[in-house]
Amino acid sequence: MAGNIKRVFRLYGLYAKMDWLLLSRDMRTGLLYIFSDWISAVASVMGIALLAVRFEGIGELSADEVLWMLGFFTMADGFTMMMMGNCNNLWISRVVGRGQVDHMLIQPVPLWMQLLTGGFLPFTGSSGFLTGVALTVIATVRLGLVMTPGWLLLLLTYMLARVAVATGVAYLAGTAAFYRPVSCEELSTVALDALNAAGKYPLAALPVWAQGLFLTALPVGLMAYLPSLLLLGRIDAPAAYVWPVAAGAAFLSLAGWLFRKGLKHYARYGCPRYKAMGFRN
Amino acid sequence: MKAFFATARLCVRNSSEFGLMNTLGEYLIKLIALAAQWMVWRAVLPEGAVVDGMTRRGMLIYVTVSSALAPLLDVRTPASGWLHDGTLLGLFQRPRGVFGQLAAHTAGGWLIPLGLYGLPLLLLSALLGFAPVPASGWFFPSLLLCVCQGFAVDYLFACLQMAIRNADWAMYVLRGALTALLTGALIPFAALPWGIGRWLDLSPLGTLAGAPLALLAGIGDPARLIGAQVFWNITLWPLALWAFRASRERMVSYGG
Amino acid sequence: MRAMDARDTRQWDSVIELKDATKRFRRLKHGGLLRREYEDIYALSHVNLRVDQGEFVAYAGPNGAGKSTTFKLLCGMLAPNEGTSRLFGMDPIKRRIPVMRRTGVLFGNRSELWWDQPVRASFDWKRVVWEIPKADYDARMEKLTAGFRLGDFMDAFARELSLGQRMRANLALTLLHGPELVLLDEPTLGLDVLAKRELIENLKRINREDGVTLLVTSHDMDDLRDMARRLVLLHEGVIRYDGDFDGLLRQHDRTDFESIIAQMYRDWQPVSPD
Repeated sequence: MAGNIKRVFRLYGLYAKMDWLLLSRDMRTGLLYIFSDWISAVASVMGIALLAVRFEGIGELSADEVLWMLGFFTMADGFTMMMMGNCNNLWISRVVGRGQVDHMLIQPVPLWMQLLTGGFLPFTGSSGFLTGVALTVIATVRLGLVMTPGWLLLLLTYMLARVAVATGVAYLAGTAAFYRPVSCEELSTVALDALNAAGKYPLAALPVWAQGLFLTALPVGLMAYLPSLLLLGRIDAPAAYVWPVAAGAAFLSLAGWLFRKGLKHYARYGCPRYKAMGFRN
Repeated sequence: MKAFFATARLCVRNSSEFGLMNTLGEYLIKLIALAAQWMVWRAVLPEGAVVDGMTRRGMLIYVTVSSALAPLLDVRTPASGWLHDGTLLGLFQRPRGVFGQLAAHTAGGWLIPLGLYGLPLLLLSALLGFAPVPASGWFFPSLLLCVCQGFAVDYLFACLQMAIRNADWAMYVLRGALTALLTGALIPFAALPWGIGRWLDLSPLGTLAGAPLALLAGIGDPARLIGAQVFWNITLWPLALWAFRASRERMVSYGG
Repeated sequence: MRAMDARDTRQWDSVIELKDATKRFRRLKHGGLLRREYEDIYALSHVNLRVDQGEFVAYAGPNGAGKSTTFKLLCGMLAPNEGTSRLFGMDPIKRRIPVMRRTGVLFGNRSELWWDQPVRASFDWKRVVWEIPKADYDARMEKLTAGFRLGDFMDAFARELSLGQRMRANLALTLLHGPELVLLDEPTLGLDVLAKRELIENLKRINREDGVTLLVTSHDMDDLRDMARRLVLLHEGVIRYDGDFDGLLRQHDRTDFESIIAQMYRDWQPVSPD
């Protein structure tokens, strides 16, 4: 156990170093990637933020609360990209569907460890996260929220839970590529895009049954809406505070179980194609 | 024209062969994103209210048609995507004009999304009570000008990508971010705060989706918007032709 | 070597052992939106192969003969439908990690280099991932840099290398952890005459000097004869010949391999899996 933890941190260090090398050796391209990610992060939430300003809030949330929710969304999404964004580790259906799992199988490292660490991009992949932090801080100050250590811990926990939900959904979808590599090659992307497309909107205008659906089976509401309501103190029910974490654990466990089954299928039938695209670049 | 349609036909088939799951998945995302936008407009505009000419029904039509006609409102030729792997080179080996071939590939790629997503969506919106009937007949010429201008803008982006090598993905992300916000495809300029919409709706990007959609929803002045579209078409096309010619050497020596 | 690996190895005295290995795949015969028909394809059919330590084996056969499938069975990427696959006496699926510590694998049409990084970064990466002790790493790097002339392009981006340079770098990377067994699938693919010669000399050297066991596939029989001592000929998933190169020529009373192989492929009938 201790050996594994030590190795995980060593691998994180290695990928951080490689990311730094990428940035320092080809500074122009690296900076362009950072800049484009930053613009993309801002633009993806700017529309809703401007609407919230124009109409003095959306639904039950004030304009500043919407800004806070968008900050959380951007921060958590950026954190996911920073931890899992490299080598298609998050968009796993691409790795599976392109027959690139073979490259992982020749490494003397457990697969879970490769998937956990290989996507780490602390330098070129952090602009979304930093933008989210900035937006959240601005909204926190505007709302006059008191940041206690407990509140910050809860914020961190919900962010990790959000990473778990997104990763779980991407891997659940990605498992299909073991069985249909061509038609499901982009399924993780489809699933993540769907989560992110709707995940930054407040769900209050939806009927209760739809809200229930979006907080469980189609966890759009766990991307930002529910964690934000909890952190902004808009929900009283104590049980609700546990839900994002429980859902994250459930999605990740289910994805892990199905992914292992998919790997067994892979060992039996292999992948009838190989595409180098996206591998280590 | 025969060559144009032969290429376009092949592109229709090509775009349908990537798999049903991918195609339907992509449409599902669009639908989810659109449903979220419907939700927001329902939340901010009460039934019957008119805010600066905007009505709930008008805005629902605006975002629905924007989603249904997305390929026409934000023209994406394969030029940028084909740069990095050298595919663009192949167009020079055929006895046809490069612009014409790119247009044929693009038009061929429209049929499936318009047929399988756009049309059903427009029918669905009629069933949901906001049939997409244009508030002004000027919507149609404006849409035509928008498509024409969209090609010029796409060629300019491709040339920019040629100038900045090894950054295809960054350019793709950057363009997606800019067009979502600055073309008016996502949010009507009339709905932006502090009057910034008045500046954006006459810009080269703002006259793309923003102009026809504003005319569709009845929140724009036809003379002002179509005048701006004509101006940008006249300005951007010569610029795009010049940039394309100037980038030719880079284009054929890149990728592959 | 870890205690468990040593125990496993003692039970077997071969490096590679395939016993009655069969691998079937399902292939789409007729595809429609609603109804699809599949057929079974035998990539390998009851293959028996044993390779001992220090051998240099050429694994030849036409496209679709089952060469890459064999490699994937040996690497633990695929599981046989019937029979067993063992490397160093270990099941490569159940004991993937210890097997991979002792094996180097390179598929000719795939690169293990990090595309947008300098070549050196891929070597540094491998040192950490394979947990190669620093002293071993330094010593091997010195040897590999000289042997494969890596010095010219160690600091260039992998994406900027020529095909020959990329293959040299990939092969050196494969050897970095000091594998006891090296599996090379089409390593000469697309290389010019000079680059090919250089590669062959390097492979012969590591087999001769370091006692590394090599299993190499290629379509070029002359290349294979140049480097290997033993030839295993595979066709439609069945081993058709296993012996030395001259033995094959004598057996058919010919002087060139091309005509023998062309004749063989013409004469052989499709094999029933049983």
